[in-house]
Amino acid sequence: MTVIKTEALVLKSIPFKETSSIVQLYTKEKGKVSVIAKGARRLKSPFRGYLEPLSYVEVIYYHKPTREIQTLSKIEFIQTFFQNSTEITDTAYAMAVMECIDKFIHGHQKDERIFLLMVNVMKFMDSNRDFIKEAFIYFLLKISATLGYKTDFSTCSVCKQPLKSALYEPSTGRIICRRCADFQERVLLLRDEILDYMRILEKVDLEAGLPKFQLAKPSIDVIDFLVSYISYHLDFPVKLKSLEILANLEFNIEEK
Amino acid sequence: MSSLPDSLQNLIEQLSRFPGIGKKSAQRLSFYLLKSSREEAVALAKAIIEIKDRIHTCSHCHNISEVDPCKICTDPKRDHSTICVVQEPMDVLAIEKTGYYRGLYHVLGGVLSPLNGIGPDDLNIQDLLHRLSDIKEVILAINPTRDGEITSIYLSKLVKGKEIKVTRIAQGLPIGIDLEFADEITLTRALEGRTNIL
Ligand SMILES: [Zn+2]
Ligand SMILES: [Zn+2]
Repeated sequence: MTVIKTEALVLKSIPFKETSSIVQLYTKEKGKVSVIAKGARRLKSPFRGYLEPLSYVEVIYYHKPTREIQTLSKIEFIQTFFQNSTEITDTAYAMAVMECIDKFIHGHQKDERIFLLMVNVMKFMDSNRDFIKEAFIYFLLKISATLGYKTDFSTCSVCKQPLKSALYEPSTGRIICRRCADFQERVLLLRDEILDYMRILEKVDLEAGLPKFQLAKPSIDVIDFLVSYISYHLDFPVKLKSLEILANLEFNIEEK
Repeated sequence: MSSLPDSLQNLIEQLSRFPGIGKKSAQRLSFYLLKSSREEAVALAKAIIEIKDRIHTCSHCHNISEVDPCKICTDPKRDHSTICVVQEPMDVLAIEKTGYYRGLYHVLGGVLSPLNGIGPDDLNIQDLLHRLSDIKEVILAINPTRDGEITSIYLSKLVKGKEIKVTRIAQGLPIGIDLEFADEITLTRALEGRTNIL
């Protein structure tokens, strides 16, 4: 048994037995880790308050490689993102980042780049609420590349000719040109302005900020495209519940 | 362990599935029952079956009840213009114990939890919306977890605009706790929720 000290983001927390919680973390040192926080739901627990999703913490836990769930020993608060946000849109996109990590990454898959990407995106989202959707698109592009499925918006993946306007073929996971599209299959049109925007986003350094260009309503399509693209390559379907809840609320409010 | 008779072993296993009951406690309870009279054991078994047969959920508020609608929903002495929204039936019990609140309740049956796959359709949200016609105030008394927070905001956005006041119970420090032991998040909430003293 070794003692691990590492920074971590809390993905989710589920009540366990009377007073404990099982907490899923994405850690800097060990990737995805589940820990049991004994007595965490007791009023006087030193863990209480730190184990909610979107918390950025430093943890010390006992690590046994043979065990699925490790034992949390200590926790130190660094930052909590979107505390007291009354905008469900903001929280939904932030939760969607956690959800992506929960769903896209299996096993431990330690990767410091993923951890840093998450922290940077969270910090950016929290202080640039007007660009939250754009930051999420940025996150999807980067996580896709980090997982080994870098999007290519410059050449058609069939004929290798430079892409002008592009189509996405969900059944093959390919970004292709009009000439190569087999219109028997369902295709998604990636409009030129969106294509241009993603080309820029791919090269952006988040710390320097995102281009001052907000996507209009169709940005949801881009998110659908990217989630579908990543799902295709990971070989299992992913639906983001955080965004589903948001869409459901928007629908209900419109109904009213 | 294997030396125990099968029926006793079975009871121990059944009891150890209870929250807060380990193998040791389950054994102690089982031996206690073994020694108690037949009448006592039958009374216990009957009580267990009775709750399963007789307790249902109220079709108005989704609280547990033997009658439908429940006694709270039909009590003319209660304030029928206020609904307090809670996660679980246990929360109704906790608030009732204070004796402070005299309105109605609505039990959601959980909270929105995107990472655990729980969305609006998994909770009693539509039924809440159907109850709002004569309501003046909706009090959200949902646990101050991240998921609880999302649920509170979600509900307030849904209910808003219907000329109903939406309030949320205060979040802050428990009575009798030393400030130095409070976590940063609770303390921030307590500061934000500060009130005039004079
Ligand atoms: Zn082509
Ligand atoms: Zn009722």
